[in-house]
Amino acid sequence: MSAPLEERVAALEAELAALVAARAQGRSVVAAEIVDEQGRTRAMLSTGHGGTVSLNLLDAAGRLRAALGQDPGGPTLSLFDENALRRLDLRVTTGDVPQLVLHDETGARRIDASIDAHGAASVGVLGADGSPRAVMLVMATGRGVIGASR
Amino acid sequence: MSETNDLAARVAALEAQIAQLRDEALVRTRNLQIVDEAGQVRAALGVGADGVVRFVQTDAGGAVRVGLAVGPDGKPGLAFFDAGNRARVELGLSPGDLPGLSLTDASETVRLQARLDEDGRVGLMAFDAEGKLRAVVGASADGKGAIGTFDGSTP
Repeated sequence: MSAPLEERVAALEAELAALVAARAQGRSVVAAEIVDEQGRTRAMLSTGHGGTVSLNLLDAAGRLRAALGQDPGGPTLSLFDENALRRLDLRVTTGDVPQLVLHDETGARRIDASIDAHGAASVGVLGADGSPRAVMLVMATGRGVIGASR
Repeated sequence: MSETNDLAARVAALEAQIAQLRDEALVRTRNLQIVDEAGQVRAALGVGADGVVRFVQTDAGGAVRVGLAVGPDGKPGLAFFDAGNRARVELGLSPGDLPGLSLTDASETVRLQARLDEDGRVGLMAFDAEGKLRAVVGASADGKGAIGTFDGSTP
């Protein structure tokens, strides 16, 4: 029951220690906030615990619309719609897989283009239910495959 | 239960300390510029008079080569520009919040596009130098998969 809390405490203590150490070494700036003429926050460039770096752009209503970041999961660019749903992801995953994903208005993946860890390159078009509908694939062996599901 | 309460209180205290330190370490400004050794702006983050919040990177000649922005309408987008200031790679959301990727040739003709359409169609399309659709991998609005090549007579 308390394990997640213990982990959270440990993470926060590490983050606090890093902040205190950075300040002691004169490296105190950990974030820059960009505000518009009305004083609304429109962008935030920041670093976080564990080596994360992020640049977030917000719309005039304060909603996150674009996020460019680097975290243990890899570098990612994400674009969000006005309902805060992720609609586009461009990233290199922990497995060193470059990937572009386009999502529909429900958040479902509809186009997924990637090169997997074995060297296969593919573009998959998915239905609203997530099932593959069309694919273009070049396998690691060099063999090409193209197909569609009716 | 008491241990859980103690941990929760510890979390709250740590979060408050971190928030205070982060607030003290925050730079708040309208525009931020990164300059090189020659004093030339190579990257900038700010809000323009047009209401666009943007992050740009420039090359040694001062030309913008990378731009990540959110427009006055809230639509986000990323573009990579060539040396001639032409957007050659664009990622973004269209007015209907539909995501898309476009690759453009030197004459600014879209040659490759991946996108979701308002009518429910989804696909990856390749166009010739005249902008005519020549190949597609996609799915129709009713969910049927489609692949095909075209002779250039399709607009």
